[in-house]
Amino acid sequence: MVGIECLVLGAGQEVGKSCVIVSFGGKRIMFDCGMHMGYLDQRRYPDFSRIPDSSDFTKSLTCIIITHFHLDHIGALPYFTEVCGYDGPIYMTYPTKALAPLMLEDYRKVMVDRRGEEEQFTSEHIATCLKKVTAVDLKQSIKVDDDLEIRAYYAGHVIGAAMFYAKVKDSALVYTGDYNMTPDRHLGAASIDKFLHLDLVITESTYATTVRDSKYAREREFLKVVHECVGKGGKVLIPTFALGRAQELCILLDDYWERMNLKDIPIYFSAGLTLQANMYYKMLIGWTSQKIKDSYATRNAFDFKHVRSFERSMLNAPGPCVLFATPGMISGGFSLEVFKQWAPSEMNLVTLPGYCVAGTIGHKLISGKATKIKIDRETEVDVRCKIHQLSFSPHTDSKGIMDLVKFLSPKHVILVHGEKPKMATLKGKISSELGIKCYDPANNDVVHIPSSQYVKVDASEAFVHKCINPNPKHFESKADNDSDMDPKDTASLPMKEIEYKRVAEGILVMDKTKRPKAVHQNELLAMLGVEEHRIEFA
Amino acid sequence: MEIERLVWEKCDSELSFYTNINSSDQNNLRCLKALASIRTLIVNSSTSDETISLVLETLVRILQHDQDYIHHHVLKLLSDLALCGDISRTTIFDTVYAYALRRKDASSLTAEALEVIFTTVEQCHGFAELSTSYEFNENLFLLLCSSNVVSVRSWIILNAKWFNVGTCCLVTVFLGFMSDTYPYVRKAALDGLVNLKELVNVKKRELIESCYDRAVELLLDTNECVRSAAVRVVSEWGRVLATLYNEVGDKGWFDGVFIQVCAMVRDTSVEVRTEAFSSLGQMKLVSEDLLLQTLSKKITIQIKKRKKIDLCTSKKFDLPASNVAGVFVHGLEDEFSEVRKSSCISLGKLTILYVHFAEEALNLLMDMLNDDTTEVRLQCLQTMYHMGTSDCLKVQQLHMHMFLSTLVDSNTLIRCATRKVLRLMKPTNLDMFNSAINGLLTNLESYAEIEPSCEGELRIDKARVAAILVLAIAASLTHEQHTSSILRRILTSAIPFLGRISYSLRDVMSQDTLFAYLSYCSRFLHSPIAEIFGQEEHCFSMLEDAPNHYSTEITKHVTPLRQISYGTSENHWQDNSWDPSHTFSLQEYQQKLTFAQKEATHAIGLVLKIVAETWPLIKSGCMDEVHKALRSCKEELATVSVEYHESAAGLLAFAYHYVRSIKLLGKVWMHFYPQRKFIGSRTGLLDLLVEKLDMNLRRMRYGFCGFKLEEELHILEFILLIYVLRLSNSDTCCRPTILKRLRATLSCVEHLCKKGSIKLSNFARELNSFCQEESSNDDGSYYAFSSKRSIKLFSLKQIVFGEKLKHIKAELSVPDNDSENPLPFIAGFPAAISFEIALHNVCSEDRLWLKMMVEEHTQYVFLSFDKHKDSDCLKKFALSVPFYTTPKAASFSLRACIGKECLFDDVQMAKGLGGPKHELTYLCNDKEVYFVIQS
Ligand SMILES: [Zn+2]
Repeated sequence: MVGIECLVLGAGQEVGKSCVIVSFGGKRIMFDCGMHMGYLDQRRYPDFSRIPDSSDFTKSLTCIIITHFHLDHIGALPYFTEVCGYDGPIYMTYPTKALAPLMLEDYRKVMVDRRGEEEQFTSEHIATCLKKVTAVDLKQSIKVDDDLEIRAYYAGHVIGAAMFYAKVKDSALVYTGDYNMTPDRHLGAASIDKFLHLDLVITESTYATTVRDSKYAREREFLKVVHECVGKGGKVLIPTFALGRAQELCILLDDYWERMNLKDIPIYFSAGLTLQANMYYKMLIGWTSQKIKDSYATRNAFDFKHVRSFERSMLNAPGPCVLFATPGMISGGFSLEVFKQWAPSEMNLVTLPGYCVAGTIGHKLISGKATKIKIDRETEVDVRCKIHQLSFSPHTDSKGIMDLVKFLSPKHVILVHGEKPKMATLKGKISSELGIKCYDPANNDVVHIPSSQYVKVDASEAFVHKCINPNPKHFESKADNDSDMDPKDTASLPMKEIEYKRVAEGILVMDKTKRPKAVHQNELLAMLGVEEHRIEFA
Repeated sequence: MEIERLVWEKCDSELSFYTNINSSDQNNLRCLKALASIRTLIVNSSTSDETISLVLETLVRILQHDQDYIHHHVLKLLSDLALCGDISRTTIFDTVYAYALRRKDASSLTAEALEVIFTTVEQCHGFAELSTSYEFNENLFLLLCSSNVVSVRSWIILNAKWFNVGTCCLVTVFLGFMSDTYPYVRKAALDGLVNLKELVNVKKRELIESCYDRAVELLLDTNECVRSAAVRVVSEWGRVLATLYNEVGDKGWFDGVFIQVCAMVRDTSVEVRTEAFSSLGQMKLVSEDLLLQTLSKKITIQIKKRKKIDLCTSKKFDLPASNVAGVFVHGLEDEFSEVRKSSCISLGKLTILYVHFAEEALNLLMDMLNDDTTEVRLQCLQTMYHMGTSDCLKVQQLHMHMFLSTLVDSNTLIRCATRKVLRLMKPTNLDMFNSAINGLLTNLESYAEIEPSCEGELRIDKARVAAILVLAIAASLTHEQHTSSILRRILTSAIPFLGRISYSLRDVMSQDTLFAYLSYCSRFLHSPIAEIFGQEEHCFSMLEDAPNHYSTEITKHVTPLRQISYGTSENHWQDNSWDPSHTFSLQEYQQKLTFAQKEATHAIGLVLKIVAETWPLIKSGCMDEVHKALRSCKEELATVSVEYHESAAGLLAFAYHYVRSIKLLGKVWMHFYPQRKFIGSRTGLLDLLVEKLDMNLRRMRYGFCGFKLEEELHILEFILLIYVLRLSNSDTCCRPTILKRLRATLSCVEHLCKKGSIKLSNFARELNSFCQEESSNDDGSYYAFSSKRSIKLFSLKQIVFGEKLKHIKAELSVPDNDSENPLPFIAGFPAAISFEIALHNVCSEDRLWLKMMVEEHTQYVFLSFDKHKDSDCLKKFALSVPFYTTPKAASFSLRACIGKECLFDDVQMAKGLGGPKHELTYLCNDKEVYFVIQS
């Protein structure tokens, strides 16, 4: 089979259940195995039955590669391995392997224990699934088998997120997963090698048309509202997800507290997943931003100076404070509990993530100026506090996507993980501005891409030697003197005009073995087994 | 002498034997051994001249032979010999020059032979010494250029300046090397092009263009070092070309080059990005629309419509204007602080081009004040300051929150830099003015710093003007009987700085006058000045015991001040109800005295804090900032008046030493961790610096008493750092001594920690374990000491030095003696000298010595003094001592000084001299005593 075949099982013209099956050079790789959070029926998983030879996934797939621990990239993995029976190699980075069970277990609990749903996979499933995973390091070349080589590159986004490069023979591609081209307070920017000679790049396109402003403006806004609120004695509630944003905002606040001498105002972390996550971050310091790595010798940035853990009894204690609580969209749990207490006072502030799922309290607060919010049948909350929507995002913007594509200069681009109309715009831009063929397949579509093939040429030692060393022709003297020279210069020293020529001459031959070879001209006769005849004229 | 001769004879015989027969591996080894012994003879400064000239002869002889395999080592030895000094360099030069010519090839030996000449001339700064008899002509140059050896090719590029080659030829050769297969040769060629200063001489535009084109191609090189060098060439030569084209009316080039460099700011290599940003700062005559686009990632319609720029060189490069979109946004957001810093500097430089651009750029810069690295924040403020001096700093109301928040930053340097910018700022409306004043007052309240007033409009540069302004404000407000809270805040701020303000006004009025005036003003607040001093328990009446002799003076001096404040005539003043008889009470005056001392102590404390805060800056190599900070610290110290306060005087002296030590540390640091790649061997200078620093630290340790435990620990750790730095220096000959001292100091630290039950710092603990390993390793093989690691653990903690510090110092004089009135002596006979000695704060355990030196003769006299005579802090006595070894001369001068033994340094001086057993810390400057022969 010549060329690359891409079967998009998920995240085609949508965000959720990322999963792409790529077949090339006789190998078949599954990139990501995510679940869609918006569905509760069979649509939550990619349609695995479309994978060729779906009776035996282990035979059909060469390997699975997971880019990061978000559920829309890893959520279906335990189901696929433990229920569908895939038993082949799985690759992900060390931090992803460490943090994935946390995420999966948390999700399982919410689904089964709280919502009383039918169990899709058990805790044991998660554990046995993760046991099959091979953890990889950044920029470490891994030979999956004799032909397939893969390599992970730093992607920013969340801790441990990676882009993956895969190569079989002459064909090579990069699957980006989610990535961020701008560093934040705790993670670096995505970074990948330049000369990879790619046939294909499969990239996310969450922000296909958005161009974001400087991150400093976002930080400034956030710090200003928080400082103003606590300055006037108010309480700030920051509902966040346990991993990622919480750490970034916390570093930002901790640093600001230090500089502005706000030691008297406490910052709290609600107990639970977050503290455990902070511990993981401390161990995974090598995957964070340069600044954090640099200062690690003196102080671990995740040892927050001003952060304490929160006791429920402090909920109504007087005085200003800042509190981080899960979950992010105030869909329940502790952040809802705190929200009920603090929302009625106009002194207080609630910050909300940039994106909130419909139906959550967060969504209601963002979408309208709700003054009264019904929590359940009995409870209604008067919302008088200030609301601030954060515009931080761990995804790259459209300029970042363009920059990366331009940087990698592949022959083809496939867009996934985005919204259909915006993807179409970006697709047009990539083909017109960069002259690169671009596709935006829907779920279950297949894209065929021709791949490059190179003819390998052997080179003789003499030829190589000639190429790498300067030969006399490089500096050939010309006899005549140019009058363009400065008269003083010419007067003082007789100048030779030098001309530069770079020559690599050789002869391409193909012998009985059918292997082409480049040789030095002097070698030709010997190779052909011919004697040299000279004709001299008297 | 004997050993030297033996060593030499053995070498000579081995060499003459083995270099005469054919080589074999074993011979080779013996030859190398002999040459190694010769090297020890060369570097040993006490080797006699005869031996050296014999060595030279032999080396020259070996070079005549064909045994190539040791020529490399011989050339190295000749190079060492040439650098040693006392030898005739001409012989060496002649030999190696002839050798190079004789070889007629482009091997590395030829290059090494020439290298002997080049390095010697360069290191000895004797360009003139190189006679015209050595010709390094073009043929030789081209021969070496075609070398098969990569190192020779990069060597010839670096050393092209020594050859007599025309610029055109050079450029052509470099152009050739830009296509070399080896990246380091390509990089060297690019660097060579940048360093060509006589670019103007190359009138051949096509040649410059092909270099430019090739450099643009190399922007896509696989090696980052090549790319970053290419960025420099593109920017420098691009500008040259742009200027040339501009002369003939083609203006597009400036924009073209700018766009070209912009394409590099998203490179994956930090080095390339940093270089690209610093190159952008050099650009001139760039269109405004392009510059504005660098500040936003969203592409404007104007830029979209813009035509692609075609630069008419031989090659076409794709230069879409959209390349520049958001370039500075990316730069300022970069993950690496060096990139952010570099873009900060460049952005600032570009702002002088267009007013509108400057305004927009400031929006981005303001946000950088929230950067997570102090270094970047500081640079950002500096950039704003430069914008202010070139009059393009237009701060707006919306910036004020961010900007003023840096006034309460916990870092002193940041606050200081902010105030500097504030002085240049021109508030456009009253709101901004008010928020600026409020910000400053908050700054004063939280940190109690100097310069109570820096209103931008008035462009205040000097503390003096600031001081007048305080008074003026106070005056005008009191006149209106306006007891506003502002007045109160200003006065509360001003009085703690009484000493400082009066210093800046010293030629106008005395401190007492000023005090009287301020306390007069405070009366309008209906709260006595005592409240401001924080001593409310004293209740006193205003008019009692007024020492009236101050009154006239006050009137005399305050009048002009008030005139300044009103800027009008005297009438106004006379209307005022100020009554000079309302002066302060004696009680108040006494409070003032104790207060002035507090102020001085406080001011010195602040300086010490700033000094300690420079440590991270030194570590990150920001020496400019450090120098600036230290300079202003010294200026600060000069304004502290300690006339009547013994304890503050001790602290002040200590502070001076401390500032000096940090300054030296900074210099030493630069040697160990140089920022630039090439720093010549200046080890001699380094030794001197380290010695000075060591001495200074010893003075801090032994020249003061009354340290608290933490204070002493602080100094000891500082001393330990110096030892660590010394140990990491490659020179190992003094290693045992340093180690010994290190151990001694370390045990002091441990002792102190135990005494005060203080936890041993990480730094000290690391050193401790190192010392233990070291001592278990007695076979002389040194445990690989990771100085970097332990230095990382070191931190200069900020501690508040107490007022109890006493300066141990001595005064030494010889009455009626100076160069005009010398003492009589008889050559060879002892001469008597009567010293008058005053010792301050010396305690009974101190072992003091009088040291007298005449040329290399030194004589020590132990000073014994009565322990309980005089007051504790000052002992005065006269001492008559004989000086024994008077020289055989008509006159001479003797240097004398008093030193204290450093009892805790476990290093003993040479015995048998009858002098001190430990090293001395000197307590006074050398006193010169003059003698003339008795006629
Ligand atoms: Zn994600």
